[in-house]
Amino acid sequence: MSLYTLGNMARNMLCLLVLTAALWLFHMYGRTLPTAALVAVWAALTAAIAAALFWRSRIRRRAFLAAYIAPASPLQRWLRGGWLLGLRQVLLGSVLALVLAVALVRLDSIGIWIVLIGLAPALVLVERLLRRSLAMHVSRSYLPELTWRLSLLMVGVVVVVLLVVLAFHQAHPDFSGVNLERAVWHLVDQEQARSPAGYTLLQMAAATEGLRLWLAQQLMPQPGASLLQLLGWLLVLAEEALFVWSYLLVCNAVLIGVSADDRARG
Amino acid sequence: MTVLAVEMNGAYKRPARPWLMLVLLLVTAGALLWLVTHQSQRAWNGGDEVALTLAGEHYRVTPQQLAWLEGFSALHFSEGEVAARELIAGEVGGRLDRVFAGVQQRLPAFADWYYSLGGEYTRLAMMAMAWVNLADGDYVANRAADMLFRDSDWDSDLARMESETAARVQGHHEQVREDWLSELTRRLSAHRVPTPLTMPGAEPAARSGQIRLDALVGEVMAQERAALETRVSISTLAAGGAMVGPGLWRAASRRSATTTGRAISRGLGRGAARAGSAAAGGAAVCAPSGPVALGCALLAGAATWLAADWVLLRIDEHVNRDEMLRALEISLSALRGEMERDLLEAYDRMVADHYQAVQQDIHDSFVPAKKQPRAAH
Repeated sequence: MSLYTLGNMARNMLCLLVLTAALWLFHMYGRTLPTAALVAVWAALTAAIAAALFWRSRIRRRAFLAAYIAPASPLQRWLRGGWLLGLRQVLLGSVLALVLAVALVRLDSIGIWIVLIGLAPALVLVERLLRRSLAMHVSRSYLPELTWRLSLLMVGVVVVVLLVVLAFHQAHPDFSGVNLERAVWHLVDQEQARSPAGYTLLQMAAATEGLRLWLAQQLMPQPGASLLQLLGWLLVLAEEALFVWSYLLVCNAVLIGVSADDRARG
Repeated sequence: MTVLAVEMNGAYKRPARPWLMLVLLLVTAGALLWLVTHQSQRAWNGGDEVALTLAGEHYRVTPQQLAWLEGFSALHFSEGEVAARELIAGEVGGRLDRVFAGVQQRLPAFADWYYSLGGEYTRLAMMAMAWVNLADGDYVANRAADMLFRDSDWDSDLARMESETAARVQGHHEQVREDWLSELTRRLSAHRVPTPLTMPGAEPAARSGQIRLDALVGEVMAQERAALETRVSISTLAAGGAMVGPGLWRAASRRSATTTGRAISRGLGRGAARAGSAAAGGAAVCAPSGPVALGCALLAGAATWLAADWVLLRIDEHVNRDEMLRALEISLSALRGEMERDLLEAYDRMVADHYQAVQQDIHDSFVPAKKQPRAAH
């Protein structure tokens, strides 16, 4: 590994850490921000996620067009991906950004933040290793997309597993002896926020969590006792996967932004 | 394409200063780790909602709604106070009417005694005894008290009036409280929340305040019990007939001083007339009898005395009875008015004390409505 490569990797890791720090700051002050500031954060996250999704979609389109459409065909222009594709990614990005923003504000575990801090070097390292490994086997135009796809998948799976482990060891309220209304209210009542819209979103997220925990404790009183119960808990914690996906997409956008090589290829 | 190539090449040819990057990376990671493990999320404690508990149910309301509830509660009990005064006024008036109707019914019996020979001679005897300090001289007044305000009737009437009035007032207080609770519960029903879980480490978020309306209800009920106990002091206002009766006779005597004076002078006149007529009667009947003339004279004189006395009493009754009864009725009416005033004043104080205490309880209980902390910590 050359010194330049090492420098680039360190730079990428640094950028991801700065992103993590920014998101941690949002977590710290999210409840005290006014609605306008929350909307700004949401818009920025939407833009980042949509940009990453759009960039990678364009790569996939190019690969598809190169493989199946003749270079002289007008379909090359129509299918290369324009505002319609961008709009779709913006819509998806807005939803993921909302999930991410709400989840960031509601994060209450130091362990998760340590995992997210560790995610930065891991993602850069995995991406670099995969890129080098796949460079000889994958077409040059499709290499960035495949590299990112596999990197995000591998790191994402590891992070989700870590989050599930942390969730297992985290103290949850005991909802085994109470009805659903009380369980949901118990978590909804914990929420507070300066922004009314943010408050509503946090309450909705808390209600969802209350429903999940209540169902989990009613249907699976002893987590981890059997494979089925473990699977149940994994399903219950599927929301964690959504959070990790959206978080990784933001990381993806940052790395794409700071990597001239990837941008040039996109 | 040229630009892309330049960027591509630039990415690999640009000096990345790896050691500087590594140092920055380590410093940033260390600082971030320290911050994450040593700083906690900034909470927003500006939650406007106030937690309420009532009859085991939990509610959340805004300070504006809480202030409205306080105003509603204060107004409801104020109206209850006004209604309580009206109720007491009607109750006391009606019951005093019934109590004094019984007394008034006994007035003719007293007049009958007063204008009877027995009554006349008893009065004279008691007057004579008072002359030699063997009696207190208030015989008629005491007799009026005995006959008009028979202790058993008067006291039992008053006791019944007191207990029934107190029961009505108590019932009114309870009704006011029940109506208030009912309306309060109805208005709060839209703001009901589930009962919070009590589990360690899972306390509900800090709120502007917690109001236990059950405690307020308990305070109001305690005030009601205290108000019920104060009725004992009210009964002392309407003292027994033994105290009221003589006063009534004296008042009637003052009111018909002229009449009474005439009656007394007639009484003295009756004495002179009785002596004259007895002597004349004895001499006329027994003069021819000789030896038994003295005994005959005494008997005839006594008979004449009694007959004269009876005639004089009938004349006196014919002339003064109505006037005496009217004077007694007026005094009775004045006494009733005085008693009604005293009772109403006493009940007024009791009602005012009760509702003032309730208003104070409301004011104290809704204190969080006046505090609206709104700051991020």
